[in-house]
Amino acid sequence: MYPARSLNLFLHLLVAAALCGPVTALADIAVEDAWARATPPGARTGAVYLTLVNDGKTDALVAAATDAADRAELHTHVHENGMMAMREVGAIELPPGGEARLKPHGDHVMLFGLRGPLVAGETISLTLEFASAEPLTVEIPVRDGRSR
Amino acid sequence: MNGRTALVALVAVVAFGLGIWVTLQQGDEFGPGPEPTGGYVLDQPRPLPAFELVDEQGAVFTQADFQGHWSLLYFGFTYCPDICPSALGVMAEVKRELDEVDDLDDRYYLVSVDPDRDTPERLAEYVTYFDPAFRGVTGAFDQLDIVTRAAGAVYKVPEAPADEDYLVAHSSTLTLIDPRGRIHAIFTSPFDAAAIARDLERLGAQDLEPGVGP
Repeated sequence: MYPARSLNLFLHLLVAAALCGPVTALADIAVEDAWARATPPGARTGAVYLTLVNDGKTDALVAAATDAADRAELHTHVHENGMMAMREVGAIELPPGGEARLKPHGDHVMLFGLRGPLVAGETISLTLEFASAEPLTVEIPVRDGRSR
Repeated sequence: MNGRTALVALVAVVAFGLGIWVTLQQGDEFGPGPEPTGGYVLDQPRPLPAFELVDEQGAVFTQADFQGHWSLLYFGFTYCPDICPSALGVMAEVKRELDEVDDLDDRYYLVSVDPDRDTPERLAEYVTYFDPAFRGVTGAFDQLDIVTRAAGAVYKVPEAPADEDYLVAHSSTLTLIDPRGRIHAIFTSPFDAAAIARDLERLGAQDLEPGVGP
């Protein structure tokens, strides 16, 4: 019957919404193209690159942490007096519906005090903290950056 | 490096840049000048003043060590996590390309402007990661400054770093030294490994002998 089918459809939609709801909430900020540069022997510093896609409201990446290093900072490159200098930044803005690309020669997550070399083929776990969104922990593949 | 040194270095780089600009202008006005594809070829290659540094084996390294082959130099430091590994990766690519096409005697150096942390041992393990033939050079700041000034490179080591993990600001160029030990060309970032390799191949064909030629 028609009303029964409507109810059926409604219930299906309800279940679908219940299933989708939390998934959508988690996916407000997505991490793409993440990689960490494999380090030369003896390196104490490293860099992680990734793209953050923000499907939610205005937000910002405000901190990062990893077990692979003593400290992780958000860094940007500035050109000053003919020099490239890296500066720590307090936040990397994530406009609604926009993205932030952390990439070589640009913004990146800087790792200080590596606890071991970053080896191509392995992964490191990185936790990203945002101004509003819940923290995200992502597995970052380590890649050999020598031929890039 | 104190503020005054930084200022001198800055003046040097501006003057150097101006020289390149003038060179390029002349090239345009007075017929075909040098034809750089990946960088600036100096109209008048400039000899390196005398300096004394140390290489990755701990041996003395002077301007004379640049004689007799083409050298590509990058000024940076091994604690650099992003720019320097990228640049050394480019140098490795340039070397691979040249290895395939000719028997040019081309050598590659990281000149570390962070001698307090970059010991010869540290340099050795770092540069050979990019290519087993790569070499490292560093030394006292006054000696490094002779080379950086001549190459129009600038850098700034923090005066009172809070800890061991300080970062060094530096210009990012590749400096080409010819077999007569003269600065011959400068490549600015972003680097194009293929274009740099083509330039080196073309310049290498001139086959400048030490102490001979124009």
